[in-house]
Amino acid sequence: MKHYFDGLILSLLFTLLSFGLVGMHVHMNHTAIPHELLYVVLPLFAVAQLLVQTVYFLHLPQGNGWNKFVYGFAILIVVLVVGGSLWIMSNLQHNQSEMFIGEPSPEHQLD
Amino acid sequence: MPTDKTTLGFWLYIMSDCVLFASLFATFAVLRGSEDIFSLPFVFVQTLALLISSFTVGLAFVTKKQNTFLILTLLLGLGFLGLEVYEFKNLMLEGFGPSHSAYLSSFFALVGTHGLHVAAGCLWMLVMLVTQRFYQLQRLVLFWHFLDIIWIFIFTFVYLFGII
Repeated sequence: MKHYFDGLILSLLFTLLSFGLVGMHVHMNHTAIPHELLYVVLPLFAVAQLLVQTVYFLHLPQGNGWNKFVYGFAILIVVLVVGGSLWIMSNLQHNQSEMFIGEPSPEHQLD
Repeated sequence: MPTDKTTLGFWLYIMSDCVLFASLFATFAVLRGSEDIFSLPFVFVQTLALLISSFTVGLAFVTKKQNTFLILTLLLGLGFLGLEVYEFKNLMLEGFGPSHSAYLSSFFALVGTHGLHVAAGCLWMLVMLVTQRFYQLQRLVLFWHFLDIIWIFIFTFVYLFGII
């Protein structure tokens, strides 16, 4: 029972921090906080809240080995799918923009 | 977390559902656009509704007052769904429907899939309350916590990143 209260308070804390930061940022005409900082801090708050809910709501540490193994494997797949997609697509975009923005090479020019 | 075989099987299902959401998140991240279409207070209310419902569904299990807390959770879940339907309807009326751009297609696919899961959870609770059979309650609790965890990443990467 106490677990759930602790989990709720900690989750609320991270939720309020995330929304508070963005609210302040919007209130000050999107200049209050550097964008690069927000792009790092907000995902960190999200992961912190994931950990809080895994421990206090899902009670994963009290689960058996298989539960934890499957959880770890799922996280690995999620990181591979999302991280890999972003990595590959940013590479593709990099190559593509060079091709379209760069000077046309002589062999592509029509007489 | 219980360690019986049925719950492990259900846990396997939840974790493979994570992989489904991962592919939707990856699609969204790749196609992300810059339309300014979200409202911060609106998403905040949705987030609070789902977070508090994740708390009350846990209480339904530990306090053994299933009826009180399941009804509370069901109402919060339905409130969340109502807000989401209202948001989708408004976006479509303003011309930001799924056919507007690849970005909005991926937005509706991701948030809509989460909404369908919440609707399935609500149906599950409704069936429990009507039949008064609660032996599946532990699995429902896991499922509902999982939906709130997915929502943490939706509000961070879809809404907050979209508002920045």
